[in-house]
Amino acid sequence: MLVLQLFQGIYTFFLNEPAIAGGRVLLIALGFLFAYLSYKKILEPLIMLPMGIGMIAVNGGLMMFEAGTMGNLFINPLAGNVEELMYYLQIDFLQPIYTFTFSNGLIACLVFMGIGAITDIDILLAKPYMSLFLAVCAELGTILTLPIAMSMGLLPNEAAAIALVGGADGPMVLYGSIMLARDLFVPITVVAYVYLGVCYAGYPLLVKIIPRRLRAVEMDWRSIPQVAPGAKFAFAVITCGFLCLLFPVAAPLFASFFVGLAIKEAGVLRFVEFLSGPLLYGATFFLGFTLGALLGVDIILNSKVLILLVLGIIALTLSGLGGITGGMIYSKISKEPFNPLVGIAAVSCIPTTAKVAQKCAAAVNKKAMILPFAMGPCVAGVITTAILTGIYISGFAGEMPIFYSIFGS
Amino acid sequence: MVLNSLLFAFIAYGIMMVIAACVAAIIKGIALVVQRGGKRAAAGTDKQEG
Repeated sequence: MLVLQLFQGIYTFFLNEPAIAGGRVLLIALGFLFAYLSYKKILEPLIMLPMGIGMIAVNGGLMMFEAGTMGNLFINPLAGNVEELMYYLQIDFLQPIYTFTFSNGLIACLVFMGIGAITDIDILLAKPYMSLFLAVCAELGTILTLPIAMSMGLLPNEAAAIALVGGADGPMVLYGSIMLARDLFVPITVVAYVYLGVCYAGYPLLVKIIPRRLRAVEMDWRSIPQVAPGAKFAFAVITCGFLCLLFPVAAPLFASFFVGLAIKEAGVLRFVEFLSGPLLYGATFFLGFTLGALLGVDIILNSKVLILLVLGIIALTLSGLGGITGGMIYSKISKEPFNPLVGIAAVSCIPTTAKVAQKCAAAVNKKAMILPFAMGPCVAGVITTAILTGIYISGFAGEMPIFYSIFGS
Repeated sequence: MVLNSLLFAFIAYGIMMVIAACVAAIIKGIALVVQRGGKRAAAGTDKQEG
């Protein structure tokens, strides 16, 4: 046993209760699985690879402290008062990242600035009704998961946080869950990112409910009208102001996305390079790694995690079905040939779902080029998800949640 | 409580639809202004050339 005390990661297994020791083994194995699937590019490596390594390290690196307590040198998310926080800021190497970028949602905003700087809004501006109609349809999961989650025993704020997974936007889920259900933001965000990775494999199966002849419809991308650069810049600035006026609680998200977009459209190349390169990838790396390091054994021992796993699938499936239904309706009312697969792109996981739509169309007709059309609903989906995030945060969080004002507590 | 949340979800859906329609109207409005600006600029150039 004395020899084992030298290797404290192993030694602490013998000190843990069996359930905790088992949980640690499970999370280490899951970390290895995430790392392997990221290496094979089955899961999104930008997020899931650092997350997997973080999970292995934090669950392996449990050690004894002087007072006989167990802990690690990564993060203590429970550090409450200022004195305790100052102590952990000097000891735990990821604590500064967590304290200064996670607890206020900054990390999600940094990712959003980068996404804004790489987002192409030409199709959204050229075909706004089509894009926004499909995006509204593809929010079905975000809407219906709220009552489903409450019927499964979650509190209203927790139900709203997990419902945001239906929007299929990782940073948005992170921001929303920090604001709505801080205790559950780690499992909710991890569930969101894992399922978004799985979407790439799952949605091609879902779209098979669309008849094959409709999936093969060719769309003429040369018919898309040109959009003036000034119009794109004006859209970014005006829409940002409009949405911030409506939802101050989600204003950091809107401001981050649209400032990136405005900088891109204004052609400030130095900023575009910074936002779309070091900032976006730096923030994404620390997002994944810190989330992994937050995934300690206490997370999976929470009885609500199993419910969150089920609800995540329900939310994304319903959103996918909503998008497909929207695509089918639009193909009926459109005067031009329209491939309903574009509807699945409205589940706003930029650009994954747009790529899925193109992949599925090309699988039945190699000449079908729908990717340019799919990018419009994909970007519109970010806007509709941000609107719903604003409504849910106003409805369930803060000093005066509107939900309780309407229905009572 | 579940029924209340269902009702709230549908209210949220309705609000989102209205705001999405407003965003579409903003896009159309901007396109119109930019188009008129382009036509005026073109007309100005024609006059100068004339």
